Amino acid sequence: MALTLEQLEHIARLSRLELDPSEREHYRKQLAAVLEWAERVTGIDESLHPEQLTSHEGLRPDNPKDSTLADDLLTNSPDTERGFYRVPRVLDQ
Amino acid sequence: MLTPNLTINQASTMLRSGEVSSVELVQAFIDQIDQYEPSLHTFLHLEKDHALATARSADQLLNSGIDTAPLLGIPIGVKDNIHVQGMPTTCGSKMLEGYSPPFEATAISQLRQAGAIVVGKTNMDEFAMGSSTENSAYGGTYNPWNIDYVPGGSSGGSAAALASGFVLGALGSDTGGSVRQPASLCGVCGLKPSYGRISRYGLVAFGSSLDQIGLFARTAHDIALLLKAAEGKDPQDATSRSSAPIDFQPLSSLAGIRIGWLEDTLDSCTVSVKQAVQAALAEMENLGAELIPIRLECMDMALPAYYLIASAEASANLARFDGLRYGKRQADDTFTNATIRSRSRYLGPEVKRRIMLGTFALSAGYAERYYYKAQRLRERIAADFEEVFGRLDAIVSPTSPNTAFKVGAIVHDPIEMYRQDVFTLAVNLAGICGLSIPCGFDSLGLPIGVQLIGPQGRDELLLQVADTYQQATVWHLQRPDMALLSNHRKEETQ
Repeated sequence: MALTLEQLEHIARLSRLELDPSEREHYRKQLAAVLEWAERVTGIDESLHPEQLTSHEGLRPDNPKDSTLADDLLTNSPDTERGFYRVPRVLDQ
Repeated sequence: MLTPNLTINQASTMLRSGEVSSVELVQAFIDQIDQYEPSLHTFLHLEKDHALATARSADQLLNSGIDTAPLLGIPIGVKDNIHVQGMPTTCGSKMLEGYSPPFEATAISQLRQAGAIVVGKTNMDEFAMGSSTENSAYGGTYNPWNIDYVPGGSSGGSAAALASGFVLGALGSDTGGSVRQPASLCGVCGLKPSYGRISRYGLVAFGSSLDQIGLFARTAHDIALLLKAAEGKDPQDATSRSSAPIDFQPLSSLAGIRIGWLEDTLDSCTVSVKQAVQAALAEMENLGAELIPIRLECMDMALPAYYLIASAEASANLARFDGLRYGKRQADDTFTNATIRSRSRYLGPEVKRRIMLGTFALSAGYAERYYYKAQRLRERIAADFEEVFGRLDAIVSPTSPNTAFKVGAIVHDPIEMYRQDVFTLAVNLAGICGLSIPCGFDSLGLPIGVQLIGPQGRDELLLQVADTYQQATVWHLQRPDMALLSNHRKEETQ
């Protein structure tokens, strides 16, 4: 399918990505080519009713137990304070 | 004697007879790494001192006769998207530079329990997206058979490290062919086990319904030894399955084994691949197998279906890389802006491409047209395989349509790169098992692999068929001439 620069910008925003203006046309062309080729799947015959894809054997019992990983997890974050992740403000003004 | 052809099975025998100590064995591999790793870049992280210390403990156990660990003293490499306690995990991405996993993958814990020694973390395409290991943010890996060529990917570091004699076995991950294709291009064996056979706990997720930890070794028998240690139901992974533990018993012949071969796959291969796979089929027939030509109609639709589904799942799985909890963050005024800047800065082009493709395939107005259609195709592919496995034991195809390609040759052409997995990814879509084993060389001396495909849970039979083939052939015994590496003058490709 044809993919416009506006559509690409929209997808990038949804993906939490920002494309450098010099890369936009490059990504647009590549994604358009991939989508054109992916178009082949749209011709599939719908009459076949697939079974539900299930591959797990059921859930394990929900047994609470202590986790001692918190400090190790926090050491991987770029910014923490007193056992919490610290991030820039979440809500816009 | 320590030869470059040493197998896990042989090394275990030598360790137990006292012919060699674990320290001597590990030191011999470290010497090989020291000499040739700079030309190949198969590792992102090495723990030589830790490996030697572990080998000393293994020797104490061996000397004391308390020897219950089947892989005691065996050095292995682990792809850098599988958590090993005490070692970093980067997934080949700048996004995770400096990340230290707080827990260990179940497969690694089990292999260590069985005595295996993790020498280091191997190079890979960023977040396992790629078929050449050129997408690693830390620079690519080179093929030990010729360093002007790629090793395949995304587990190219593991395949090349094994082929180079740096380890006796290795772990990779296979979402669409990322173990089998590099195994083929590097002349080693690579198994994508049935979905759920090895726990994915501690494997960084790419496409969760397709991902499976896979195994590299020189022989099918060695892979069975690794699988026995790594497999099993894991409470930490709801998709892991309980199945009877592998019990590898050699077959005396292939009599009674019905093998379907995918006729039309040979048409899209290079001449040398076609001839080598035909010769492998003839050898299997010679060993008693019954060959039946088959066609699977959905096979050629598997490729686009796969890329839609894998990218859709990747776009969701990689949403966690927000610069908040792991890795690196770019400062900005709001959380959303900081996330956008961090992701844009630290994720590579192929990862961005797939996240955007997946986001698009799942987005309002397009999900029905792309993602859901692809899922229906996936069901049909799985049903097709199930139908043929009602009358067949295994299916044979080439692993890759070609041998290794030159560094830089197709890295800027996503569709051409995606085509490298054309024969492998249907196996992941169907959740079944696939094994690549060496079956020849092209005119340039680059290895060729043949793929054996089996139904869910029949990994053992694939390994038995491959072992029977390997008892009668010598392809798996060939090793690259490492002395030639120093003669190559590698071009600057980074």
